[in-house]
Amino acid sequence: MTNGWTDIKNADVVLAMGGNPAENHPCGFKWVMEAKRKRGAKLVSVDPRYNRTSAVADLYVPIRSGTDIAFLGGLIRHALSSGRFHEEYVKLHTNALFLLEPGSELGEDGLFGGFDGTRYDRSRWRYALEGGHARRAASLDDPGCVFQHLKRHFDRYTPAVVADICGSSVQDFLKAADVVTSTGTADRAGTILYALGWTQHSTSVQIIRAAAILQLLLGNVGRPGGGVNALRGHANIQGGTDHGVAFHALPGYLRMPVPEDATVERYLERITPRPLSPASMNYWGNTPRFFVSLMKALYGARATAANGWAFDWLPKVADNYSWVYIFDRMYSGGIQGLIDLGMNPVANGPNTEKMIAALGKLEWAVIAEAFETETAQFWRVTRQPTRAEVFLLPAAIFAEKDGSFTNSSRWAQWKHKAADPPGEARADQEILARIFLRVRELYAKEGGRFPDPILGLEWPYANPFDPSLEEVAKEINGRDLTAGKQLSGFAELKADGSTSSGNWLYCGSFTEAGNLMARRDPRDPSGLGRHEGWAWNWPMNRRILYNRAGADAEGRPWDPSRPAIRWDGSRWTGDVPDTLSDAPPGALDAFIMLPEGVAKLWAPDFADGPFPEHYEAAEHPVENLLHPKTTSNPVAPVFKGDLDRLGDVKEYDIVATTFRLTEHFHYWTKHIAPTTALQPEFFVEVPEGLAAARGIRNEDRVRVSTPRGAVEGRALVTKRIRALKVAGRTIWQVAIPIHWGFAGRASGAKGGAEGRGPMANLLTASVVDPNSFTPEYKTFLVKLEKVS
Amino acid sequence: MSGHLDVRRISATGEGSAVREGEGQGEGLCMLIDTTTCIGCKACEIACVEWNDLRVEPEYAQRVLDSYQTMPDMTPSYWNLIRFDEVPVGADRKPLAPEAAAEGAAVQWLMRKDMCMHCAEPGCLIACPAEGAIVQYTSGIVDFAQEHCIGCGYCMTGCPFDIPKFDPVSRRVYKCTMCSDRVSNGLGPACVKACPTGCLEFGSKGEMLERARRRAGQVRAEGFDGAGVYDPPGVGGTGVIYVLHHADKPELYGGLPRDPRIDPQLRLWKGPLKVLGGVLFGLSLAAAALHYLKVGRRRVPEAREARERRELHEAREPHEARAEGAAGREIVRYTLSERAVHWTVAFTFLYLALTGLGLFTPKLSWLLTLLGGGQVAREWHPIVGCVFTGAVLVQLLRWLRDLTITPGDRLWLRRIRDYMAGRDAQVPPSGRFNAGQKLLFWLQVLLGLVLLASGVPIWFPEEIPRWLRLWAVVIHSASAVASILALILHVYMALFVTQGALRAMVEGKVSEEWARHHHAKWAEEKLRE
Repeated sequence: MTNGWTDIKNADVVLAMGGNPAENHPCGFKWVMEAKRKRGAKLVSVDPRYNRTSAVADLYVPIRSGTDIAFLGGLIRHALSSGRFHEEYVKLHTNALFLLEPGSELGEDGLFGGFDGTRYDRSRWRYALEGGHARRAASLDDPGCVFQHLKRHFDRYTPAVVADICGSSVQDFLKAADVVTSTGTADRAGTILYALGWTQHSTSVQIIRAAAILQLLLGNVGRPGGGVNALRGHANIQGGTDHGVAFHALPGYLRMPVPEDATVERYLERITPRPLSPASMNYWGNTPRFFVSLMKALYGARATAANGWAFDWLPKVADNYSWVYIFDRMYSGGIQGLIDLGMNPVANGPNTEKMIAALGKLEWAVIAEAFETETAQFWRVTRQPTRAEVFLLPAAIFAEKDGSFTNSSRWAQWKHKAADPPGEARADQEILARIFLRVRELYAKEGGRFPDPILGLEWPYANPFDPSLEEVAKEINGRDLTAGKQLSGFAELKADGSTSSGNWLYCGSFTEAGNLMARRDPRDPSGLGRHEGWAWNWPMNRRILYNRAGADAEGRPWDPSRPAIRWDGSRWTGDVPDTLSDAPPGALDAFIMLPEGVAKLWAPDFADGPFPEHYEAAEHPVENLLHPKTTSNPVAPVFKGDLDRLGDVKEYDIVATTFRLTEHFHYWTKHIAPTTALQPEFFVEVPEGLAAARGIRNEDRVRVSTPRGAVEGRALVTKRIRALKVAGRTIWQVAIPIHWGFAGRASGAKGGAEGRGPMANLLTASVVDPNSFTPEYKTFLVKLEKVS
Repeated sequence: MSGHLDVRRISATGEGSAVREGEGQGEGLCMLIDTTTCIGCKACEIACVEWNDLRVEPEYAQRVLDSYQTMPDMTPSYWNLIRFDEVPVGADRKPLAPEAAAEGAAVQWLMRKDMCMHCAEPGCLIACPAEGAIVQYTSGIVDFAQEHCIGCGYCMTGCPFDIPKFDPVSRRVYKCTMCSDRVSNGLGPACVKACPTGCLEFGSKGEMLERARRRAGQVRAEGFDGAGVYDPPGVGGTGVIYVLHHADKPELYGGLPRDPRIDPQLRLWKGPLKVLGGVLFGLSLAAAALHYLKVGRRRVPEAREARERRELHEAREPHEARAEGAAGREIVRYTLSERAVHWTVAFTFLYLALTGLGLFTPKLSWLLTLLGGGQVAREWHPIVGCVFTGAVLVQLLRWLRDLTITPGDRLWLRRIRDYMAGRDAQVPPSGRFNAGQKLLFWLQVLLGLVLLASGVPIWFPEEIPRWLRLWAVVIHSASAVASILALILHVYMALFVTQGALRAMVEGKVSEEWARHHHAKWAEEKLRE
């Protein structure tokens, strides 16, 4: 989230799209209700299904799954064409005035410039530079500036085109557009809440880019009640992301070294950006400080200037090691063993059949889990005999260990253990520590090919077998190695090896003043939901990111009744400022993390284009109405193994999407009696009209299939999903809840195909977004049959 | 918040529960349920289960799969249920009748937390015959005390919201307690505590009403013209109030009653009927006493021939006179099996009347105590009732010929005043039973059938729709009163008026004179045999 949960109460308009916050984030959703009650805020819900959020929305607009960019493109066009955008903000805080070199535009074939048949040459997408800085146009009317490019690009997304692609009616679209763009003024703010409904597409990053562009045009970024807000799906998934669980990032979003980075200097040279504007603070210019401090945290005294801070000990990532790629590699026999903690790939990976087959090719698997999950039992259901040896280690659950959760608001909140783990169950850190210590022992005894990174790792914990999470948290915060004191913020980090920090973003969370994540002061003096004394917010307890953009050129908040920060003549007051606290307005641009210094309407950073463009999902019921030659994302990886079959609309004529239920949490709660009773049984949501056409009555057994697999369950015939008119055709959508499988109380295994249970991902495909590599779980084609 | 367990009313004390007027008025507590901000997340359901240590019975979890509703209805161990309804709406967001809704019409998904409404005038408490089983605190909370519950299910009949649920295992009735244990310790109910969106609030009725009205105003301003507050006056207002988008159509919300009230049947049953019954019982006893004082016992005058025969005999054979003459001629009036059936009827009736009266009015609830307690009475009354009706029907079949109304009976009935006054000479001769007896019997057969028919719905309250039960309790009580009145007449006649009647039913025999006097035609028939 750029903002935070408690800030939603400041919104005048809430657009819930690509997410169903009432269903999946009911606790955070209270702030939406608060905004409705206290401000009379309008909630707009755009979703394939009329869902729990829609039930309390002021406006619900149905949309065909996978067409969000078309809808958002329509909103962008509406804002631009009707002048309902915040011009002063756009000029001040975005790259709208930046001039572009020609060559990045979208052609009529649906491809941006620089396409070589498989990928884009992004060096063709350039600003017009002058002395290393981007040239700026004098006015937004300059045809060469970003703003005019933007206008031309989105001009095609007229209400009629949106309706034709998305299946929403023109009237519904225009109603939504009027509400959403009503915040394009200084005195109104609107927020966007999204979740997996946007991230799980082959165009997911560009959907979120479209939302960012819309919010920037409306002047909604950096101010209370605004923002582009990702609602994270686990209590600590934000923390996991921050600490580098993704293969291509080190902790704190430092980019992973690649084989071409021969030396640490070359690596730092590659990943440290240079400012594109004179007033750009370009905070990532400090990358060497962050990196060296990280290496000192990892390797302690063994990381020295002489050995390039032990740069050679870091893995150099030559290939893609994201989820789907790992399992593809495993399926082709390239992986021997798996250590799996807190993950249930059989249930949550795409194309379950392939997941199971891949696991079956392992020699060993160590699975640490609180329950005997589907993955822990994969060997029961492999089609080919497996020789994998599977170890199930009983693991403690969240309430049986302390540590911190970082929520969607980026609040790192310390928590305390509520109970001891039962039996032989152990906390993850103990499991990992014991494995590590045994591996280190082996390396020490037997040597091995490359023992240095293992033997050199800093392991300073009081009890090496079970490091306390307080020690780890202190290590993450970082120390002044000369003074031997905890650092109080990342501004103190040095590139000379005199400081350490396990994650520069969390520097300031555990200082000499103690564990700031454990703070529990609920007071809110500003009344704006900042609650400064509650837990600790990265970065530097800043509650709203980019909050400098919440004020105008003179440092006055856009809406004086809802100030983020304000220049009082000598310093910034309010929230922790996202700029130097004594830098006067005008000295620095607002977006300090970006080389441009301003937010990017046009962004050359992504694999699939500098602007978002509507592409159909890999499995689609219609061709792309904008450019039939390029229907789907041309650079989205589509796997083509023997289990990676895609379906065609002629046979698989119904659009399906997956969803979650409030009553369940992923694949866990079906192991627990009361929550199982709330939603005991798998079902398929079938629209009334489709059910009538297929002779399906409520509670009839139906089979939903793709070329990859099938699920069976009872039909829940509902009025909440409507037929959509798309390009003159009627398109039906069905929806499949993800929570069931073959493990646990509510397993439903009896009804499943070959003991697999009704796992939604038996249906989904190994197709991923080219930037985030997140699978396209949310849109695919299915066949629906009644089972007699 | 101490004092929230001060009692305002207790079930089955005084006539229809005593109200301490003036106490706790206007300071009641109230739960506000804003359905317009409810997302149906069911946190309240789980909080209720956890706090109250309830179990989710697997058989109840077999829900009907037309919505996300956890189960079709609340159960004895599930007191809080969100009802989900998909309602087609027009462009103006007004609900459409299902038949008027076009294919693909817009829909509104209504979610309503259903629970005990904690009525200011609780139908359950008014209906309850067990002292202390239902209490209403001054806070307005209506609480069930299962240790006093007899499991009769009258509360289920009395409740216009169909909330209390009967547990066949413990044979007691359960419902939401508004977490009276938490509330009396200064905490809100568990469901309110767990609600993530703040659509549940708990506080004084006045404040909750004000907030509800303000919110309803907001919702109206959003274009829902029918928005409003649900606080039905028919039950004196409720301790649980709703903000509804469509307060003008509460039925859309899982059948929320439009105008719930204390039903007239309930009022009749618990009010006038009870008074009337008491008055009639008193009057009939008084009438019997008066009649006895005025007319006295009906002795059998010795027949002239019999007297002559006795005198003659005494004169001739004085030494034998006593033995033979005293014996006279005896006639079998009732066979052993007839007597057995009669006494079955009699004792079952007695049990039914006593337990019935104990359940009917708190003034006689001590009868239940004497007969083993309310729980036992609740369990056995219907079973004994079946035995009674069965025995009556056996009697009917056996005596069908004797009970047939004949032309002579009309004549008899015309002379009923003479019969009443003891001028037996003026009364036409009757068969085995006189017309009065026949009518009384037919009346009891009729009432027996009515009692059985009306008793079954009361017996199985969880199976029978409430409207039927409401009529059943009234009809059952009224016919029971009538039946007891008839019994009083019958017992009075048998024990106090007709000398020899009791002996006939005990020993089975009557003297020839008795037979000739009371049932001349029957006596002749018998003698001819």
